[in-house]
Amino acid sequence: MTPARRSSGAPAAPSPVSGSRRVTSRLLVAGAVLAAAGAPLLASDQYVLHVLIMWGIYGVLTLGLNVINGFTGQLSLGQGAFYGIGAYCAAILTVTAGWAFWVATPAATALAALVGMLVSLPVLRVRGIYLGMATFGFAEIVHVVLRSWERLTKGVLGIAGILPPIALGIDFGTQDRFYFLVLAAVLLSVLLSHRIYQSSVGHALLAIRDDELAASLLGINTTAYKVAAFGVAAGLAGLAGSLFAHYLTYISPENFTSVESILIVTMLIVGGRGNTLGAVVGAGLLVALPEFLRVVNVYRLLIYGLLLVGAAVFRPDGLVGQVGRGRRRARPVAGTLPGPAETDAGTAPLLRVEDLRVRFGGLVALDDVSFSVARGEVYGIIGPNGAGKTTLFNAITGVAPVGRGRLRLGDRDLVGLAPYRRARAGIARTFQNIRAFAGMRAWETVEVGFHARLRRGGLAHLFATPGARAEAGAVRSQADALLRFVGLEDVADQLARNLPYGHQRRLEIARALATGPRLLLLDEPAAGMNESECEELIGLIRRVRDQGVTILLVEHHMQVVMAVCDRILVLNFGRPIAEGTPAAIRDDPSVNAAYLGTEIRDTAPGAAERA
Amino acid sequence: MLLQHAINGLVLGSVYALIAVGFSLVFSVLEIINFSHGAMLMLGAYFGLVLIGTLGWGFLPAVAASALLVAAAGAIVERATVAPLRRRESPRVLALISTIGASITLEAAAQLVWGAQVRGYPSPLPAGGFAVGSARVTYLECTIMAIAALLMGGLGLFVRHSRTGRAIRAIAQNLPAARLMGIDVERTIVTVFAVGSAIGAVAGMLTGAYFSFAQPSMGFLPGIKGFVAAVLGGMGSVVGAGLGGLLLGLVESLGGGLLSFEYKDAIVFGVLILILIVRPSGILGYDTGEKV
Repeated sequence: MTPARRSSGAPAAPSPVSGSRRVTSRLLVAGAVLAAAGAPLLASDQYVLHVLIMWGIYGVLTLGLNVINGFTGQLSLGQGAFYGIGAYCAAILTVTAGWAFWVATPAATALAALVGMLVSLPVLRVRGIYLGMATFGFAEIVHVVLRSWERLTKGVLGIAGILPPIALGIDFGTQDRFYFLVLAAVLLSVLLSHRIYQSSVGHALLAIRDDELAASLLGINTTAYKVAAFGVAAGLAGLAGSLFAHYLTYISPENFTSVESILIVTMLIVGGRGNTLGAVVGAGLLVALPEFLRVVNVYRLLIYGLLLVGAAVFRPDGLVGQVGRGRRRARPVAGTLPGPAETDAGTAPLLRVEDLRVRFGGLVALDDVSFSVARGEVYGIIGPNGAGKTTLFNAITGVAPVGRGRLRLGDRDLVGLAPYRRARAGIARTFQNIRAFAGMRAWETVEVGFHARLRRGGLAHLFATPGARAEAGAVRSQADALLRFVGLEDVADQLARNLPYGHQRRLEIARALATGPRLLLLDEPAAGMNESECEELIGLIRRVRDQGVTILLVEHHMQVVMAVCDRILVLNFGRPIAEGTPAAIRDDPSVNAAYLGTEIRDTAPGAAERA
Repeated sequence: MLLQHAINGLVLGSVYALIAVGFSLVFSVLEIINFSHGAMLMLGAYFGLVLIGTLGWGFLPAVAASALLVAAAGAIVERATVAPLRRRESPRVLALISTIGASITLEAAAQLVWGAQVRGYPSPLPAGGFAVGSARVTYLECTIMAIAALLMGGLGLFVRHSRTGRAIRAIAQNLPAARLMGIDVERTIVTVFAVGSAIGAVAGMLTGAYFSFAQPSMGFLPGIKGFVAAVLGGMGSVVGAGLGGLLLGLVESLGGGLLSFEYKDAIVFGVLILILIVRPSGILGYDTGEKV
């Protein structure tokens, strides 16, 4: 399985978007819009117009799916359900209640979005293919309800006589006029999708897609974002549904089957996931393809199937692939974002762990662990593999369940607090196994760390209000400063996962520092580093401490531990066996006997270390 | 009434179990959804139809021959649509698209060869049955359950005790490590597709015989149901597929018979969603969690 060509889920690094390319891309967009607007003049043929309108409707559907699947990484196989809900809502409102298109369409959009969010609340507990199945199941249920709830939906007969939109006495129901309505909806959806992608909202979604756990430990409320993304996806599907209902003026349950949902997923993947342009192109291709293949009549489906196989095999990133994929950086603006509030000034310990116990089934991973860390201290935790060091970090950050005991940060009780709330309280961490956001460049990795410190809301960033823009600019200058701080300013535009190992470790520290932590948890930052890299790391840890950040350090590398720690706790089989200054630990006979042998004693500055 | 619905549910459920196990085996080794599995049912049904109807074979020899033919088809689909993705290290979700493509291609081919119209399906046994309490069981239903039980049991033993079965389980746990231990991963994966497809072919013939028809699109709905059953039971487990299949059959039959026939499928998927929310990895699936 030697890869002939590397092509995993994440996009390759696009070069930074320069000014002239930005102008070019704007011209291209303007040209595309003009061409789309002029299309009815060139193609007055009804059949071509029909295909274009269906392209637009599926384009909106696929753009919606792209928000939840492409940006947020959640597999939804139920887009057809919200399409159906939107269509039926619009149809019933216009036919039965006599509402106008202009009122019914927003209502249908809102209803679909609302249902989407309500459904996502329980369903998003489930992940991956199981989430796909749950959403698929929901779509099946909706389909059955549309077919069977005859008093509301007229059952299999469907709803006919849906009135065309009329405004200022102009009937928009004719094909050439309806085309412009659909075009407007597509442009709106493209704009929304584009703004989500470029703003802090999309940045948070991409972080969730790449590594949900790491995102939540940066203080991002992942559940809220996933629910919102689901709502946008469902809302756009509802919009498409209303357009479809008003275009055909007749709908039946068979328009909204599971086949529809799967077709939309196919459009997105063939076009290119995570890519606004890709969503539109994929929809166009799969709407137009069967039409073109009509020429070959009986072989139509056969060729269609083979083309799908070919697309998946030969264009794994989608047809559009990486074109125009980069997120743009804000222009730097001087300013700082406030960090987590310090409600508890004083001399009391910053972190207090009392009588902590963590168990997984029958295995007690930590027991009777008590210690406290003073403000500004570098506190080391050592112990053999399996001693429970990382579990302790997981318990403090909220990833592992606390069975018994207390955890306090300042005057704040941490037990029972969601991981993202602990991050917002001022706890940040790095990981033993590097968890880089696979699709992000170095600057994006650091900037997303600032997310929980943004004071302007998601909507402000979506609409790029002056305040939000200033804030984004401040994030940029602070991120640049952090990149300089860890010495990565020259590789800011590189994809994080392509950086050398040592750089990735430093990038993780910068990302953690971006949250403005009061307490920084470093999980084996020196793992795999050579002598000189360790020296650099020691310097970096000291500089972080000098900025007033309290540090908890898990490390096997004794040279580093001895050099930076004020105090050390030794864990063995989940229990503390000693605590004290480096010198005291080095000379503690029980530590030496129980675990370290003579190793610590032998560690002179510069000595080779194999822990 | 209750007993009759329960019996119908078990018959239906044993077919679902046979379909589910094909999804489940493939998922356990590759963590992909093989969407072409439904087409394998259809192929199996049609091959059987030709063997019985045109060539005059008996039902059981036809089942065996059809299973062999479809095993080959499954192996070809793996080589043509799944293996290339693996070589390129493409994201797994792409296998969904390529196998949907395979499924459409096979259905279209079947339509070209055998026509789009619904065809009657021969029953392996003369009509008739016997009473169980207030309910009635046909000989055909007994045969279906017996074949399903035999195949599921045999497959369980195969996965547990055979050399290939051990290789399958090793790959399911850790594919790269299995390769490093000298397991022929590619051959095992092809075997998994072939075995899963063969069992799917049997399920296809049983479906055809049970509902007395064949059609190029006949694999779609049972395919979906079989997939639901696999998810219900917990992907990757033969026992889970069996349990999931029976549970699905019972829910569908009892829910449809006692609550509402119209809302039968809604009940089925409602139960699916509930179970997933309570046990996100299915009944027997284990949550591997995330290592931090």
